[in-house]
Order: sequence, then C-alpha cells, then structure tokens
Amino acid sequence: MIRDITFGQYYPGDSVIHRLDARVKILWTLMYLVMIFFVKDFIGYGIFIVALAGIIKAAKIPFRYIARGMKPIMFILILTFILNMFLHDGKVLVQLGPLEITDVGVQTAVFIAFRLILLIFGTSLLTYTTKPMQLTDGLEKLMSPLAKLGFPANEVAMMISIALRFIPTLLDETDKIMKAQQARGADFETGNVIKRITSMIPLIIPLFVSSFRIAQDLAMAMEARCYRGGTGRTRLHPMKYKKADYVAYTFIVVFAAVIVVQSRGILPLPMLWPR
Amino acid sequence: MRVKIENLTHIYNQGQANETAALDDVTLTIEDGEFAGLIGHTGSGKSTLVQHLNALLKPHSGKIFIGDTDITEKGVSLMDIRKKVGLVFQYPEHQLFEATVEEDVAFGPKNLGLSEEEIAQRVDEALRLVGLDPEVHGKRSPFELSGGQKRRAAVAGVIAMKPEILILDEPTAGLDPGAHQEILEMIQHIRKEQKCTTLLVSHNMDDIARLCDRVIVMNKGKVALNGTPAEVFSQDDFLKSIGLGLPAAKELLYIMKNKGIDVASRVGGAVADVLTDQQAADVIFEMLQKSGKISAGTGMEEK
Repeated sequence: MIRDITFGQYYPGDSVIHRLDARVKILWTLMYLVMIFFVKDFIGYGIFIVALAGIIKAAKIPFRYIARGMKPIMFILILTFILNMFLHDGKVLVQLGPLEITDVGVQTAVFIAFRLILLIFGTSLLTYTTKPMQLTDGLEKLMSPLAKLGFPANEVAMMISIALRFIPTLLDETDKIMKAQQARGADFETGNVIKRITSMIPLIIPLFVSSFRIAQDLAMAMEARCYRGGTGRTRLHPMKYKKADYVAYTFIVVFAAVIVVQSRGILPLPMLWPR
Repeated sequence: MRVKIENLTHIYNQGQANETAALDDVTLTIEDGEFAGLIGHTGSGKSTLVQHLNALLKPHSGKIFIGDTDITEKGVSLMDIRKKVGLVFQYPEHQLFEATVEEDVAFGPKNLGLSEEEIAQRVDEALRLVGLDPEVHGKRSPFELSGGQKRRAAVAGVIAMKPEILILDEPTAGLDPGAHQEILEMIQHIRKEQKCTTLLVSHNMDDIARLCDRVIVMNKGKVALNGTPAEVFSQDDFLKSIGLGLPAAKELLYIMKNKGIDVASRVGGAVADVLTDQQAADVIFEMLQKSGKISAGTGMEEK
C-alpha cells in the first residue's frame, strides 16, 4: 500500500525527456510554476494541456501512473473545489439554506481545480524523469553563482540529495517493520483515531531507531571516502549542455512568450470563459 | 500442521515497465512436523514466498492451505493465520520497540487478546525457550542487549504466539560464528519443545544440509529442486549454475572431481549421502585405503 505513492518518485526510462540536462528541466518547472498563474482563461489552460501532453508522450510515462500520483491530493482538490463554489459573490445558482452557489463561484472552483491538477502533473514530471542525483547536481550548478555570496550551495544540494535518496530506503524500511509487526498480530488498519495513532508506536519507534542507524552508517561511509564538503570536488559526470538542451530552452522561451501574449491581451485574441 | 501451496503466482509492479513475476506457478507441500529448508539466489522469490504463508502478501493467483484452511479465500481471519504461522523476519531485532524485553515479547500475545496471566506465562516460557533469563533480561531495555541476545528476544516475540508453523528468514544473518551456532541450537530446541513445522530460509548450505529433512531450491520464482538434502546437493553442477553453493564437504568432493579425482567412482559407492565434514573425511580415507596409499587402520582410530 505504501508503495502506491508515485509523486516525487523516479520513473525509470530512456526517453528524450529523461536524457535532457537536469538544469533545463528545473528551469522549465520553475517557469511552468510562474506561468500557470498568468493564465486568465481556458484557452491558456488548453495551451498548457497540449504542452504537458506532448512532454508526457515524449517521456513515455503511462498516464495512469501519473494519475495515481494525484490520489494523495484528491482530498485537498475536492475541498478547495467545494469551498470555492460557496465563497464567491455573483449570480446565485443554487440556494442551500444560508449557503449559496454562485456562477462566479463555480467558475473559480473549476479554474482553481484545473490549476492544481496542472501544477501537480507538471511538477511531478521533473522527478519522474530526473534521477535524484542529477536533480541535485543541477540544483547545485544553478545555485553556484550564489555560492560566491557565501550561500552554502553544495551543502544544500547534498542535504536535498540525501533526503531524496533516503525516501525509498525509509519506505522499504517502513514496509518491512510494518510486516514484521503484522506478523505479530499488529493491526494498522482498523479502529478509531486514538487506537490507530497508538497502533503506530510499534512502527514509529523502530523506524526512528533505524533512521539513526542508517544516518550513522552513511556518515561513516562519507567520512571513509574523505568527504569534506564541496570545495575542490570534481565530478564523474560533468554537466554539459547538448543540442537537445538548447532546443528545449528555445521551447521554454517560446512557451513563456505565448502564455504572456495570450493571457495579457497584448494581441486581440479571443478568450474562453475568462476570469 | 501441513502447508500446501498450489500454483502460486505473484507479480510485482503489475502494469509497469519493471513488472516481474516474483513467484511463478509454485507448487509444494511441507508435511506436518517437517523441518524444511528453502534456498535460492538473492531475488529468487524466497522472501516473497514466505510472506504469502501468513497472508502478508496476497497472491496474484493460486492457493495456500495452512492445515485445511485456504488462506487465500475471502473472509479468513488474518489473526487466526498469524497465530498459526509465526514468521521471523531477517534482522528481526529491527522490530523491537518496547521499553523492556518482557513488554516487547508480550506484544504478540496481547494482540491475540489473551489474559494477563496467560501473557505473563507465555512471555516467561518464550524467553526461556530462546535461552534468555526472564529475571535477568526481561526487565532490561531491548536496546541494551548484545546483537545475539537482541535477535533471541525478537524470536521470542514470535514464539510467544505459539505458532504451529515457524518460518525463519535467514535467522543467522550478520551474526558471529558463536552466536550463529547458538541461534541454530535455539531453533532445534524450540522445534523439540513446541513440535512445530519449520521452514528455514538460509544461504548457509552447511546449516541446511545438517538440520533439514528436506530442501526446496528456488530459482527465478520457480521451484527448481525439491528433495532430501542428499538428493538436492547431488545436483552440484546445477546448483552452481543458478549461483548457489554446496555444503563444505560436498564442495571439497566437487573440487576433487574437477581435478580428476572422482571419489565416488573410486570408492565404488554412492557419495551422494556425504553432507558433513566427517562423512567426507571417511570416504576420502576409504578411497586412499583402496588405492593403497595408506594402510588399513592408519590414523583414523584417533578421530
């Protein structure tokens, strides 16, 4: 059950998108995050959906797999949808006692739901197609100008990479301990809230002990290989832009330009159900 | 209690690029009271198989009978299965969590809903069975014990549930030779006292050859061999080809055979039964005697 979480995981593959430089993908994701807030109408979302569908197709990741990653945020999605329906002034469509569903409310609810879904889909693609190590290498490289100002770019990158690296390890460990306690008759699935919380103790304490053990082993291994921070460290795989990366950058710039022109009404283009 | 597995198949990551059949049409039976050994290369499906036996994993298809109950059927009480089938995981000491050893061992019986006196009695009994003193070790924190003691305490946590079938997944992994030997003796002692059907997963061929009535060899999710230790370990070339070793005695004879000294043909008898170091020494001695290299009666009286 714990393995069902797909958000933030790496999806092994060898597609064009997988092979792109991590820096390109990080900058794309940042740009994507900013641009999605520019969108004013459903033609704008249409452009996003087409671009996203193209990238998913190129990355050869099954749509079903990404959709499964939506499960954990389903609750937030539904909650914001319902709240938005009720919380806006406008022409009243349905009256439920003191609560009113307005036309503006429905529009905002749909609009925000689209934004959330596109946000999750778009950002999860970064981790699906980039190995944690490449991701942090990319981050470090992007942050390296800040290092000159005293920003601990290498340390931050190392911390993120260790954190990412140990997500699957800790998930495995959780799975193992859970099974071991279930074999002793532990029940994690039934009962009321209090009972469920107390039933977590046999899971959390061993997990806590394990993470300390793992951390100690890791520290020892890093020490044994003379890790002394980032200064003067060279790389096995130096990051170098290839032709495909420049093509991707061009795509990003064009995409951003299209969204700005379309959403700011710079050209007299038609809008679809705009806010 | 008898364990019967029929056409068991389990698939990991179904529908994904890295889909693999961890178990592929496995059929086998472990008779009541038998001491069975399960060997196989890493990733051959051993751990997946044992996790099915107490319903921690659900099969993709196939049936598993514990006694007369088909545990793959809907509506079977999980608690009932876990009471009957005790599973000791690899590095079981990683599951310890209570403040004292006693309380940790009591976790299983408590989940079974037993009375206070029954629990106390079972904890006491289980600790003695694994060779820990309830007076000395019972009140201590499990994290203060030595590696071997921690493992014993963890095994006691399973024994206290009084399983009729005991499954141990590499119970000696990571222990020093002394503790290794002690854990094996402990297993034999538990078997004798509790009369439980036992399944031992191990990479140590010597342990398997010495302890088990029957050996099951897994390879790529299938049962590759299933027979007495003598039968299974006579398939030396096959075992080597799937990345497994032989008991030390067998290994010696195997090396000699490859060097052109086929002890079996020279002695004229079956050396298939040779499993222990002593037996190997005996047949080599017999061969040397027959070839006239040493005279009868030399040396061996001193053994």
